[in-house]
Amino acid sequence: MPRVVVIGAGILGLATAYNLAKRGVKDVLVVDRAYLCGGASGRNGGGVRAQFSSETNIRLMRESIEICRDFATEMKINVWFRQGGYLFLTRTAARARDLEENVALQNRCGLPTRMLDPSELHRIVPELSSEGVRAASFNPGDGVVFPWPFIWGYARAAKDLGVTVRPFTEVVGFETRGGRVTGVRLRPTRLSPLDATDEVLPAGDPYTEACDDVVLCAGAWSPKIAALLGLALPNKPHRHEICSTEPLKPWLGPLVADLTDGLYFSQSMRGEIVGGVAVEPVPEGVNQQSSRRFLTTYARALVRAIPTMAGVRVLRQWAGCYDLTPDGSPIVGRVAEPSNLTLACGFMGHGFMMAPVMGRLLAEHVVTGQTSPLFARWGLDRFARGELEHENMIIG
Amino acid sequence: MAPRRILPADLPPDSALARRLVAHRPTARVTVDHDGSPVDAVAGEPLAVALLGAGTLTLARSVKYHRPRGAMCLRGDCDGCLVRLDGVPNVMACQTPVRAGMVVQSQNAFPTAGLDVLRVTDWFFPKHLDHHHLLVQFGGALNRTMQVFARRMAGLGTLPDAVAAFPRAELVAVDALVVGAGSSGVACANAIARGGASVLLVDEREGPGGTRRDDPTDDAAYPGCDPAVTARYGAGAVATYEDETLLLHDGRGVSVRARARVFATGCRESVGTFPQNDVPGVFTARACALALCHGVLCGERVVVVGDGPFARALVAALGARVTHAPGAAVVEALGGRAVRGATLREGARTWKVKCDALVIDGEDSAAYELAGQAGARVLWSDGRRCFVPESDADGATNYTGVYVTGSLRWGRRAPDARARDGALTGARVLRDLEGR
Amino acid sequence: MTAKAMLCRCEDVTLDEVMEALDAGHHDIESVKRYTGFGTGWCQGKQCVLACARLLAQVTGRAPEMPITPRPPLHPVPLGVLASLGGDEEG
Repeated sequence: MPRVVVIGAGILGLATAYNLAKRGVKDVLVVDRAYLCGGASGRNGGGVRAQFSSETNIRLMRESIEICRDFATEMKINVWFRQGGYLFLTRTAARARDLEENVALQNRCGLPTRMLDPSELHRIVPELSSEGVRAASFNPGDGVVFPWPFIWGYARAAKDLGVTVRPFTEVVGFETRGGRVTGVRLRPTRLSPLDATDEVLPAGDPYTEACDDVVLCAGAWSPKIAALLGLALPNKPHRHEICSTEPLKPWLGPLVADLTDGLYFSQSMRGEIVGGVAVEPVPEGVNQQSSRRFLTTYARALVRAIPTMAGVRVLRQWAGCYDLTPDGSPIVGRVAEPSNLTLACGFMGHGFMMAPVMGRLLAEHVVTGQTSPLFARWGLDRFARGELEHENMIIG
Repeated sequence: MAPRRILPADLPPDSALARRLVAHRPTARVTVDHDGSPVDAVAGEPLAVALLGAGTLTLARSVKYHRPRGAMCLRGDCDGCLVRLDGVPNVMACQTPVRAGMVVQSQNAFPTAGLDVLRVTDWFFPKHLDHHHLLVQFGGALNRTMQVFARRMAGLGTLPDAVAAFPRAELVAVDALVVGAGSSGVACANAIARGGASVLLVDEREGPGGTRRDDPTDDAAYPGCDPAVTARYGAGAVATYEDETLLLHDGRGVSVRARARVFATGCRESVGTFPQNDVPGVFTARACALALCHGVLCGERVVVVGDGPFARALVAALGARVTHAPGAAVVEALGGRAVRGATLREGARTWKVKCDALVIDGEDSAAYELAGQAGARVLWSDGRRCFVPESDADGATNYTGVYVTGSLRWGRRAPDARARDGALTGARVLRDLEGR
Repeated sequence: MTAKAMLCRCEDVTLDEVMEALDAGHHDIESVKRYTGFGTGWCQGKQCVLACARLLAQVTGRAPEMPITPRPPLHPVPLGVLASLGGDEEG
């Protein structure tokens, strides 16, 4: 039986391991440099939506939403999936045209998305200031989840099927022979006391785990790990900050996203308003430190959208890393060399919501060795071929 | 049986507490509205203390089990005294000075904070509510219904009534910022100022003194600030970043850029973890002492547990009015809506006491958060059994320009020892400022 | 009588609940925080981080090396104050 090492115990790595085990590949080792939920899977805003601008993403996300809906009963842990809808709005004419085109495409794909007139906008979020809003779209089936239980649910279910999940373990190198990875060099870590950016320090000696297949699901850390194999990836880490307010009684139904300034916010199951905004420039590389500049940018954008929020307080802020590709689409599938390496990275800040379905597809890809048309389009070699796959519904 | 106000006449005339109460004799008596009832208060005192003085122990209900909540620390370190104030949710009453005409409403209570039918969730889940696995064994429909209900139950307070307006923030640049105007912070700021560097000293309290402000047996004058120090009171540091410190000064934002930042933030108090530790009427010794300094006694039958400085100060100030169990630990607090007793243990002996205020001077802990946010390395200390920013002999941390001093570094010490430490750190700051 | 011992009073997290998280395999303080929600409420851990660290020291025989990451702000800050900060270039 083949032995698979999955690098990265975020939702994508764990969902892939779980689906591999379900397909009978039970000798799976999942490693992560820190604690579970330490990367982007534990730091995102929990949005789950099918409102995208490409048919591929729309169809994938419809399936992911189905999995989210059944997750609690199937995986025996509550993920607090709430379909309050996603409300996209824009204040520019160009983006208004984008929205209209996207809605038409989404309707052709069977989504009930619709453009909202001002009165409907007011009905859905009465507190929202419509000043300057040029257009808005709404899909009632989109929603939000509480991200962490997905990680615990997949980890538990994968372990029950025989998978080993090993946190606090970082990849320091690879052993290769004949164009294949034969072993992954690992080292135990601990969280670093050097700063508050969740760095890890070595806590033990390196050792090797033999493998027949490697799946790289390390998000923003993927380029660094791929470089250990001499493989240059075009994706880059990009810090994204989020904050959470004091918990209030429920008043906000949908997740609201403003395509003009990258503002988005929703109300969690606990009542907090959780959201973020685009802030440029960001520091180079993986950086998970919080900034005051983000808070000000976010506060100005949010108070403009919901004026009564001025009196609501921020309880905490944190940061994580988006994993950005040049064309806005992910990088998935086997590479030419090493031939037993499968990539799954570059998910542009919506990797969490895509993981439930991508975990299934990746497991199928690893087990069968077949390259579906989707994986062919999203392969690493598209950049060399110059056949890019553009997606314009990126938030933040 | 409830907390109440005491008068200087109730106390021995030669006591420090009596002198303090005379010296701070209320100048302006005002009325605030609490859930429709008028409450007599003293302008400028903490709202939470005023409510205690009026005999009100329970102010709200807790978020999940609707357990009664009341003031516990009076230092802005807990959720005990959150109220809706003048239409704004979740205001910390202990951090809010009383003004005439305030309208105070209890939160998260149905129908009232004193009697809340949603308390049934507390009894329904006697150990705890396992929200991760609640109703997952049933089909999707029931699970989804549960989630709709859970969402309705979540949250404290509702959106503000009106759009609040805030003044434009101030931007300040100084050589050194000292956070905390207790004995060490003042000495540190003085040492830096006397060396010729510009210093901003800030404290969330209404004046200097730190811990000493809350000691009912201490009525000596606080050492003053050097005239060259710019001091701001009612100005708490609320967040620190790599290169910036954010203050809230009387509700206005102040962004401070400083080449050196000294944290003299002292210690936090907590009551510890024991059954019923959250029942109204359980206080930290410092909270009880702080209220007493405002002339409010936190109960008729006060039991003081522990032998820390605030426990000793309370016993010294109140004498036979309190029962002191210096060597005891709390096994559990008794009482449902408010504390009515406790089980105590010392060695092999376990006994019950009756009380309406259970006052605990437990182990204190370093208030490390601001120094940690600024970049200082914070590590567990086996000796102090808490997390402490790492520092060298002078108080310099691993992070350039960030220093710690006083009780934050050493735990509680006598004021003059804290002042010496502050001066030592201040001298180091000066050397580093000149060297850079 | 429901004699809950509150480890985190802001989020109503009981001692019992934290013990269950330890039993479920969450042994480092960051994982315990996420599983139980302690330290994520109003006080952001000012009361409960220490209680949890002392409990971990008692149960596992070793205290955590570091606290959970202290995230700004220290006290809750109104969005209106945050919006009033910074120069216009930050808008």
